[in-house]
Amino acid sequence: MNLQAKFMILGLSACLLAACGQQTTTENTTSESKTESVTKSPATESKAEAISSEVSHPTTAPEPSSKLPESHLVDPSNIKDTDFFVDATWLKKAQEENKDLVVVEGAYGNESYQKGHIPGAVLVDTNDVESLESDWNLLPADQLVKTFLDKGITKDTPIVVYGDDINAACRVAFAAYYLGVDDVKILDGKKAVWEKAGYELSTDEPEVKAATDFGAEYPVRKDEFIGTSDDLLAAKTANPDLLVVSIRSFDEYAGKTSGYDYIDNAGEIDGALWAMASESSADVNYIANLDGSIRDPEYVLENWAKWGITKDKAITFYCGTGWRNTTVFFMAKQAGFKNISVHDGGWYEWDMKHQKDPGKYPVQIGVPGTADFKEEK
Amino acid sequence: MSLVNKKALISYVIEGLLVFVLYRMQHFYANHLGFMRSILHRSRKFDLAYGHWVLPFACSLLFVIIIYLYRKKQKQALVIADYILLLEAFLYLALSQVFSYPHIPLYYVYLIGGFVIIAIQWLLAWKTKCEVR
Repeated sequence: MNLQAKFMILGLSACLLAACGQQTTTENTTSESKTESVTKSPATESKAEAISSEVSHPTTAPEPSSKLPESHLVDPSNIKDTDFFVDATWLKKAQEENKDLVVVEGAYGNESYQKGHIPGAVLVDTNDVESLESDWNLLPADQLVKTFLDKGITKDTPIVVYGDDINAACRVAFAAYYLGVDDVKILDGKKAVWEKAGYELSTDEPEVKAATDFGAEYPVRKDEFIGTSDDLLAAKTANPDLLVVSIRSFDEYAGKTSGYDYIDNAGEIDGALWAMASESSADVNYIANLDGSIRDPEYVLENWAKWGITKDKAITFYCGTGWRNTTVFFMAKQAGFKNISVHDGGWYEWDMKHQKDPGKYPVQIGVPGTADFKEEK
Repeated sequence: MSLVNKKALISYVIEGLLVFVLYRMQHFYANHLGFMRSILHRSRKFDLAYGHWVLPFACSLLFVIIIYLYRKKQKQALVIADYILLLEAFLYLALSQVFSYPHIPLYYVYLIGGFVIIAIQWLLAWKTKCEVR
């Protein structure tokens, strides 16, 4: 390559680099405008003190979940109508007795479904209940209801949701529950528990007759759903005693990691308490066994109680983007928590909003009560 | 097999593998949540930051390659690696306009992959020239 060509390439590269330096994206400009402050407003300070005086905060990571013995929330001999989690035998019997029952595989992608699914099951892809455009929150109700109507699911259709990932299954189950499907249940465990119970999977695609009328003004259970960060602020204003509880891993709570490739910053919503549930950003190992079945919650609930998270409180659970907290929601509901909700936006949305308006969406970094703790407003 | 042909073979194998990886990435994207969300996040950031530079960059690259090959042709005959380089530059320009973030979230991976393929091809063409010398 002669000298002239080399200079041309150098010149072009220099132009490219200069253009790259002039980034004008909102992400860059808003991150530069973030301010750090440890000043608390008097109202926030007194509320923080009130919470601090009531509860203790975990200061170290809990022991690994692998040290916990296997235990079960579900008692196969005593599954009640009001329970959310059911075992494979219950599901098999229900399929035989109730032809209206729709079994749903909740998953991202169709690879696992195509390899083999519970006979008669329909697939609801998680990208049909959420999207990047909705900040990974549940789609608006009018779009969400179509996802279920297309599978023949209305308010009166009993459904049982399962999946290879218990959190994906609970995510889809919660979407149906929030809309107002009367009878939503979740298979207690991953797909493998079906085969473990002695039943076969199928690769046949079931015939689906789409429905046109959901049968109710949806969403029916909007009181159990706090969608966006602004909805959370409104909920806290309406009920100052509302506990905002992170069910993320301890490292996420302690601000050591965001937990996600696509979330740039670590931290938590300011004022959040921590409820032991996740060991990493992709699991709920403290409330689920290795096979995905839900543990007897006694151990985690004892810890929750130490940290002020009790059944008499109004609580909203959140995580990164709204998957893990739905599993916790259903477990807590079955364990007797009454006044609970799912906060969908989670750390993903709150962090994005914090970058643009730190004052309105303050964050905390580190564990409250430790030397590393700070609030950013 | 001459040294030039061996290098050509190796570079075509590498390019072929890269194309295969890009093709399989679509399948991986469709079935792995974390990968999908990460790619979407990065695609959106890339599109916001550099999206308006893609067309000028692809045009400039094609222009430079045309000038390079024109000047090379004046001194010696072009080899097949040179024609493949030119073809890839045209394809890169065309596909960079077909691919866009809203339609193909993996587009920034394809763009970078395409650029790597052109770089490998250019290196081969340049090495071929050196070997001929």
